[in-house]
Amino acid sequence: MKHKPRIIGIVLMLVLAVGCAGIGKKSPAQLAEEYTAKAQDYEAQGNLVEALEQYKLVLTVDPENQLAKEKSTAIGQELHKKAEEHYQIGLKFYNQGQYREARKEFLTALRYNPEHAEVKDKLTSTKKEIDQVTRYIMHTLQPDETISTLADKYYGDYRKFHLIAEYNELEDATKVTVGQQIKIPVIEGMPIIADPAAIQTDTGESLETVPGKIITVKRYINHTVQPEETLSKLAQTYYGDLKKFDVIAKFNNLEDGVPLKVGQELKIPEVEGLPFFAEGKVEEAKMASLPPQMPEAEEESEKQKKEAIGKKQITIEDQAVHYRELGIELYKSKEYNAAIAEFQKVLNVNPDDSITREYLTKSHFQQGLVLFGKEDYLAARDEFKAALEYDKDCDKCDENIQKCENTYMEVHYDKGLAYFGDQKLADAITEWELVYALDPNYKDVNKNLTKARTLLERLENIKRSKTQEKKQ
Amino acid sequence: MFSFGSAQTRAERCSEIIKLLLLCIIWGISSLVSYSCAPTGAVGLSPENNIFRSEDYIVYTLQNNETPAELAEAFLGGRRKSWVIEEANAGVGFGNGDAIVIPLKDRNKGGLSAAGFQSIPILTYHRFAENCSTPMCIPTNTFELQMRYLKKNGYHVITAEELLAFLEYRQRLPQKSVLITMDDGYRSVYNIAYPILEKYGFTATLFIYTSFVGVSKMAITWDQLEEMQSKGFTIGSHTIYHSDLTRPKEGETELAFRARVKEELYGSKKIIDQKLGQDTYIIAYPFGYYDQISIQMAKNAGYKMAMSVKRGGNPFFANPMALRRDQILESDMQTFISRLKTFNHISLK
Repeated sequence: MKHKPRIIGIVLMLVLAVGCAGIGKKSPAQLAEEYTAKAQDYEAQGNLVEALEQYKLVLTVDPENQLAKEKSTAIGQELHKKAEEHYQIGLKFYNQGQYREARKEFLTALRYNPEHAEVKDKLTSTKKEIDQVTRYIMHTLQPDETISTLADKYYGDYRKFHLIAEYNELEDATKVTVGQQIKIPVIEGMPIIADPAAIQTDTGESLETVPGKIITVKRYINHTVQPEETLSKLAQTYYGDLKKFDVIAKFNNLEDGVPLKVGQELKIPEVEGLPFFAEGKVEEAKMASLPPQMPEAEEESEKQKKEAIGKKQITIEDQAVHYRELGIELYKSKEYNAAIAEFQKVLNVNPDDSITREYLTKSHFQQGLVLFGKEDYLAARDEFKAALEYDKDCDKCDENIQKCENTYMEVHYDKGLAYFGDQKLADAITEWELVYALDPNYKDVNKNLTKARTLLERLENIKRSKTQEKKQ
Repeated sequence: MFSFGSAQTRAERCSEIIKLLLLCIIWGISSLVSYSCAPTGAVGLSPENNIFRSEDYIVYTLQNNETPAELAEAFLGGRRKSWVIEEANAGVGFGNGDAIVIPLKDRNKGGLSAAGFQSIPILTYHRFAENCSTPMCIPTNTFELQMRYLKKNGYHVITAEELLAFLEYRQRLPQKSVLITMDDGYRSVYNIAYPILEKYGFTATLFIYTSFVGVSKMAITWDQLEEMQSKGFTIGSHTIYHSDLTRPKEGETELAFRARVKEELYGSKKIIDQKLGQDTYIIAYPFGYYDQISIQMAKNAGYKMAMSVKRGGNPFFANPMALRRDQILESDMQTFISRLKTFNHISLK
């Protein structure tokens, strides 16, 4: 009995000491305090996005926490303001063609306000429109030229330089090098000052005919807007067609429905395929205004050139080598069809690869022999023909093509004779028709066919008349 | 004696009362302890006072050593989302009594932080063999080591669907996300890579050119593709004949060239759609070659993502029709690790 209280005490202590997690659980007030401390740390470091999240956690465990409520609202507003500021700075960079800097600002804006729709669009969809352009003019950059001067030269408006920059995926339109190949996008409906013959597609071929939607401009004149003049009236004056107002509108980057102002300077383009009534006003195209300050094209360093070449070649060579080597492996293991598939891929990259062409000849030739062994003579012939395509001097190919056709005709001719002998006229005709299709002059095939058809017809006539007799 | 006896009785009575009181206290504490320690069996059944909820977060105090996967299943709709909880509680040991933060909103869909932005590496494989003689073939043990590296170092192998959601700014991805792709449809993808991927719980996206499927013992079959598809692998197009979509062939007219490109893009999608009963939304351009026309035509054919072999990662604002990929050519581990760049450092303050 004496020990009882001691035992009870020990049990109680053990229970309390061991306890469980429930006892170590933090109260809402403790949690709120922790989150608030973290929030204040973040705020002090200027990390407002993270601070805001901590205040939201405070409000999760303690919804009535006055400080967290006030701070959340204030920081939320501050972040929206900052997002807008970065967005505006980004737009400025963007308009100057400094896309890398613009992107940095847009990303910062989006970090501060993840739902900023304009920023999101600016980051994700700026290239969509230009992606659809399939025609361009290749221009090699000369000393003194910038992307702006190119925009002026081709679009008559330096402000359109961003189209060229985006089309060429330039990270920074102000950094270009002499000799760099720049593609000038030819956008449907937007007049471009160029010779139609210079317009290319991505396949590298010039297009002989330019569809009606492509508007090429020979030159343009300047026009100062007079009282009561409208775009339609100007179109009537210069093109004899008031419906052509959009040509002037697009060339001058004018928005729909915005009225002209008296004294406004316009450029009237002389367009390929449209009459132009300018009464001696036509003069050489000249810069209407100065392009923004952009550094002129710089000489590309040797190192940069090597890097660019190195990057391009690794992938192509690796792939071609891989496919070719695999093809050779397959050829050696007599998997001719699979080998042909690999070699075809190599030729897609390098149509003149002599080793691949040689192996393609060999693969098709071997496959031809396999098919010949299986008595599939025409398929075998096609393989020898394919082999010949890759090696015009393949004499054995010619021989085998001949052999395939001869064997094919011989086999079917003989089958025809056998059927004929068994009085299976229809089958005999089918066999001889196969021969006839390949060579109408083969042995007596023509004569035999006529004979078999005549006999068959007679037999059928006899059958028909017998049937009619029975009916009567 | 009686009085003494009576005094003794009183003392005994007092002692009894104290004992009773003590027992009551012990019982009370035990009940409390056992109540709060009682196993609940499921996360959702824990007492309400363990959960604080707002529209942005849940703060949950662990009672039964619940794992991030269990919490994700209970609160985020699936175990696959456990990374959301792991990332929000970095450094927390997940022991009983820990208050776990469970974010309910996908605020950072672009993977942005003050230090930069997230980028998704896409790895490209072709063929596997025990021993390889060409750089585009990866030896079995190398692939095994590479996958083990991904698992051990906390990489998340995402699906093509998840990548699409990220590129469309709809859904955030784990910080260390990577997509595995395999081009051409060699049989070794099924025989060698597939079991290794399964072992680590990974999936991949296969790009097949349909004329090659089942053509020889080197090629994967439709049945094998169907099996992999049922295990969460994505099957994308690599066209029908694996021909270059950007250049006409020798003697090919402009018109014939366009018709070929169209057939390669539309035709392969139709074949795969029919064979595997799916809506194929992803393509890898043969040789990685693309141009404005093939991009446009691929879009028109119904593809939502298209892959090149231009080296580099893919932030959320990457062009989904010209995604970058790294070809895994080398067999040394260092080169492989260098391809796993999941973050671009740039100050976004």
